[in-house]
Amino acid sequence: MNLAQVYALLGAAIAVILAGIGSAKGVGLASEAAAGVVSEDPSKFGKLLVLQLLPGTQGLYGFIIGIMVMLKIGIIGGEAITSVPVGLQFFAACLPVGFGGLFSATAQARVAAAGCNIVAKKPAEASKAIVSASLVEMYALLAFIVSFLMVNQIG
Amino acid sequence: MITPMEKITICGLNSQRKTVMERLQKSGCVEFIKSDDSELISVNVSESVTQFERYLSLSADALEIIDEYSPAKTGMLSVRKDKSLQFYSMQSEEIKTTGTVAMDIINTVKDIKEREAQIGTINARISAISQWAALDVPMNYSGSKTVETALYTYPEILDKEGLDSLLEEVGDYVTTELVSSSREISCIFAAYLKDFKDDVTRVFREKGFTQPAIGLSRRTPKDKIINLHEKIAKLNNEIESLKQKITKLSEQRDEIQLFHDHLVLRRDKYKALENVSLTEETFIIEGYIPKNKSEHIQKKLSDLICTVELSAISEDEEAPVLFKNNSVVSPVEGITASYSMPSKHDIDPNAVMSFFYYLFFGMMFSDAGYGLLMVLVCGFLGFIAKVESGLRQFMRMFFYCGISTMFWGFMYGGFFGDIIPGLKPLWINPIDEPLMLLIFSVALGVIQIMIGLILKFYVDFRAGERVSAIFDTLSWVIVLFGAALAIIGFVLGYDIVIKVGIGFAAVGVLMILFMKNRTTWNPITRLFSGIIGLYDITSYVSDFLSYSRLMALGLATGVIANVVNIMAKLGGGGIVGTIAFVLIFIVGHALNFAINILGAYVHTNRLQYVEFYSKFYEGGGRAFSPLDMNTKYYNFMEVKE
Repeated sequence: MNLAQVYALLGAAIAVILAGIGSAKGVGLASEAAAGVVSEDPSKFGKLLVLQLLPGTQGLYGFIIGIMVMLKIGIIGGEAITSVPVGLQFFAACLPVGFGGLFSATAQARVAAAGCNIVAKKPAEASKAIVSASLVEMYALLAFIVSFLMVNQIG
Repeated sequence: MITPMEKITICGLNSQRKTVMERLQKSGCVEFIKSDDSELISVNVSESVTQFERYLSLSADALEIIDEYSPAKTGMLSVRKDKSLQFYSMQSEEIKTTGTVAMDIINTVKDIKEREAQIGTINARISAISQWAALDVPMNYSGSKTVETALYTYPEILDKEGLDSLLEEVGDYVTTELVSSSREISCIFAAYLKDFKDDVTRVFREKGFTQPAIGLSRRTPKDKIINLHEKIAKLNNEIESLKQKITKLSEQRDEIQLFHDHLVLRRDKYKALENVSLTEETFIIEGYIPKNKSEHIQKKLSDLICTVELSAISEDEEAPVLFKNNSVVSPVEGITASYSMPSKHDIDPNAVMSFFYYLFFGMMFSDAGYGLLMVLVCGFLGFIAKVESGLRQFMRMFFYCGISTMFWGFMYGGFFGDIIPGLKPLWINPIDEPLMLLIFSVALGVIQIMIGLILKFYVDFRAGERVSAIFDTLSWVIVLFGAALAIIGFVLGYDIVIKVGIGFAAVGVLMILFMKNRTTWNPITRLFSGIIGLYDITSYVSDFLSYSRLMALGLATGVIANVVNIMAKLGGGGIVGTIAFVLIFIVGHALNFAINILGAYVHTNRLQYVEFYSKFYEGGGRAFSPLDMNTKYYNFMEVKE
């Protein structure tokens, strides 16, 4: 393994770690709120599940970018990269999804947790809670797309 | 299209009021309103309604219990059972028996709960007594003529020596036996001479011994425990037979459901009755009715002694709204309804909106394989399977969205990602040409927003606010059209198109600059207002850029699908590789499907609500809610004979 690959791997690690932290915190927060509602009325679990899982997508986005980088730098496929600037390019490409994922997941989790309240008090309006949480998703998605396009174009 | 409404007034004799109202309820096309004639009396129905509500919650509780004790064998999609209309009204005899059954079920459950609580108490008792199990005299045994015995507890673990040392002071007069000892409690049987009772009890008290907190039985602890276990067994038997009783009563599920629906119908009828005006002998019903239904109602009531008058709705009255669209457009009515129903100034936006809805949904979900799944599943549920009408419309919406998704999937060359190696995109591969797709998305946004503005122009013009329509709305249409034309000309390299475009834009800008403020003739003030008005361009630009989500979500579906395929193929060939491939493929695509169908749905709604409807749609109307048969379990139908 050469230095270029190390830089690229650092990037992949950041993408997976930060987005993963965000999602883990996010799903945890939303699930805590949901558990409170389920303890009162277990039949609402299905509606709550979507809210619980929404902050989980960021981790998935980070994971995908991580895999993509590894596929392109000769770790689990592709040709080994040797140029250090290229390695740093991969590093840079991983930053959007890492940080975007970290912060959007925690923000989304707060919306989702508040949405659990909606489900508890007015189950018929559950879709509105989901819509609200999905609005935050947009920014994770944008970060993911940019990271993806960057990774895709390098090399 | 919004169904035109009329006002209907029905006058008749009180003796036929019930029949009239029942027929109206069965036809389900009249919404009752309160008459503003203050001379007429109205019925106070709140008491009866409360009564019905009470019975309703009773039957709902009973049904819930039934579902718990003998779950109904229904699939995921429960459909109301069809029932002939002759069951519409239950006989009072039946009501009484079914009501009793419901009551019986609820009371039986109460009995079960009570017995379960008793068992809990007894169990606690047993665990308390079992500490004394080694004692072989009755617990309330108090000794002989000269010797007194007593039970004591001590809140710590003890052994015989510890106990003796604690009682050293009176050790000569008392003999003790350690019945049991644990960390929480030690149980002691003590015998002492009656003459020394005072001293002994004092020492016990001083050293921290207390008398046991349980009732002292006249049996030995062992016997008592056996006795208590017998009691539990008896209670369990009773619970078992009570449960059997519920299971038996559960056979009457259908009757109770009918009872429930019957109550719903009665309650709704009484609620409507509140709006009916009465005199001594006659009643007057006022309400709204869709124009195309009025003839039907007149025919329905023709054999009764009553008059039916129809009249137009006055200008300043806000009539309830009922949509009427063709089968492709009507599924999205629910989307509009959850935003807001149209006010009397609005047009029905569904036709235009549905086109963009299906288009945008397809662009965002954009995978032919996923689209195919939607078409198959939602097509079956929306057109073939027997489901409730609300769900059916929803499924039909996703069916049309699925067709669009398939279309865009082939345009982008995605079928479960890139699983088919030779599949070439019909238009572009978004991963290779994201910029092209971005421009196309924003262009679609420009088109939708211009259409929104044109609709606004039409609505205002129709409402008579022509000046505002021309200078506040049309001016922007001209500006945006000109700008778009200029950009097209620039891209294609036609100078003449650029010039025409700039000309258009300039006309629009001038209109805004000088006609934004029409309250004054002072040119300076006008110009200032106009310049501020031009700043609206920023909000239009941000609206256009919002359509970039069409590209972003469309790209996301394809990218994640491709990565799923790459990961699925990592296992290589062979049996293990194939199993890994199938597993990763199914799980990965299922996940991607779930995330992105939700995303596409939410963001399509958002574009319609925030970007499109904000341009022309006022909302704030009220949905038409006639007196009808809003039942939960049975679908009452006319049976043709």
